[in-house]
Amino acid sequence: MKNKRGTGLILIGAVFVFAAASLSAYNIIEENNAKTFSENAVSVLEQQIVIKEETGIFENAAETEIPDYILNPEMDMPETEIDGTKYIGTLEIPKIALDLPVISEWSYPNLKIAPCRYFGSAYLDNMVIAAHNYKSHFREIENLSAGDEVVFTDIDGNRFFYSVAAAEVLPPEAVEEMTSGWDLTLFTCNSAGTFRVAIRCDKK
Amino acid sequence: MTKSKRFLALLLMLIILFCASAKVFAVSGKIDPQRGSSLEIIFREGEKNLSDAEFSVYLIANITENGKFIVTEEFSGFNVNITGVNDEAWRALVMTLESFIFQNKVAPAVSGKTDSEGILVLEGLKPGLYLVIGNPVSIDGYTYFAETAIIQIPALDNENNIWDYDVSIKPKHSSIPDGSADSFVTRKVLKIWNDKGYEFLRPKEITVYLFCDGELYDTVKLSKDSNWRHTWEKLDEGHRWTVSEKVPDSYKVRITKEGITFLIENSIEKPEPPEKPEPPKDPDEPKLPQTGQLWWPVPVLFGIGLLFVAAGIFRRRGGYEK
Repeated sequence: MKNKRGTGLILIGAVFVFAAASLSAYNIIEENNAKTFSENAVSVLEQQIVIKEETGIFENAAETEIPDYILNPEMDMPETEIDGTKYIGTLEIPKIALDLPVISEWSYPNLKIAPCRYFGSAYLDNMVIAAHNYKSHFREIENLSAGDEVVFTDIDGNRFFYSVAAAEVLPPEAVEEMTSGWDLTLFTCNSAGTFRVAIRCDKK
Repeated sequence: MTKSKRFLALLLMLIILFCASAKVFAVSGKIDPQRGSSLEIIFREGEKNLSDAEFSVYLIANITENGKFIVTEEFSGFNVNITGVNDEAWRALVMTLESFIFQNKVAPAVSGKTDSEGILVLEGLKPGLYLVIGNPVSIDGYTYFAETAIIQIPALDNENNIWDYDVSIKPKHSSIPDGSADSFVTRKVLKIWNDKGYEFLRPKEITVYLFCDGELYDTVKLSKDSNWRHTWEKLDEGHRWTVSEKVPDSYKVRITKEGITFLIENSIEKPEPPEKPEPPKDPDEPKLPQTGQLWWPVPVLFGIGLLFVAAGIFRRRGGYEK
């Protein structure tokens, strides 16, 4: 009788261990997929985007090309579509070797592909970018320190240079705090998923 | 907006722009709105006479004896939005009026070409507000571009404090050396919507025209898909390139140029944005997206599993002992 009970307990235990293993496998597959999606998208974007050189002083002001976002900072950020997803540019963080695409609008399915714009615009100096804490996405951003460089490149090839200014830990309800007061904010979850780690950046 | 209101909008704007000249009416006496007037255009680059340059003069508004402008029938449907008295407002007014003229093929009041002295005298005009547009002219290896000017007849003769009905102007101009056949320029157009709260009135697309020396050259549609912009490349540089748009209903237009980009701004004038219904109190506070993977259950599940397995083994061993 006790033998039987003992076997039953072992079986229940095995089910739990299997569930733990399955969840781990699911997470690892999801993370690997996200890495592949991001790498593909960023390589397509980097082929498409022609980086604009710094505008020098032209002899003839009438023939100077002024970037559209300077003429109209309120304009929507231009998008380009790759495999049905609309992107607004790329994000580089050399310190932690990140080179990622940025999706125009956030959604849970989009977050499984690449970092997403959560709020604002690079042209209005209030952009907030959210990403999963996958190793290939934003897990390492908590290791950034003041002065580290962050570069965003839009679809037109305009490059925006930022430096890390502060790190904050915010509760999930702090929507307003997350979206106000900084030129650029990057955020992801802490490992328990209970708080958001926000990296605040100033434009150089 | 009714036609009369549009008329009023332009009229008010013109009055604002010309309020400076209106102030001097008291000392200069009344204007004779019917008096025969003339315009002399002197087109020279230093000592060089710029001959054979064609200028067209368009009547924008008549003027009353008290100095009020009354916009002509042709321009009364022109839904323009330009305010202010600075240089930028002037340039915008000139460019926007010019685009209206080209798009609607408005006939000039009078036109002609400069003579060998670089002079063109246009007779038979009456007092009013005029736009003076010059076509590019090529002379001795250079192409000269006259800046479009807006002028008032009569002009105030400051020295004698009287109205001068025979006005003389020297148009500002620029020049470029005539290049080879492959000398091209690029022109861009960028739409600006100034309609916060009324975005629902925006058309899905708008039509923009490109003019070459006042003649229609290309027509494009702008929409959200094209990011409300367009670039024309490889345009012959020896011409004057301008744009205009089919102004959407309910909107006013203002056209300016910065570098190679034309900005077409459409604005809407309404007292206040429509009231948005108060969003229902959401029992769930808005939250930042969940950007963490579900890792925490893994050790928990694993731990519980191990406990069960251990308990099972313990049971089984205990059973043997007894």
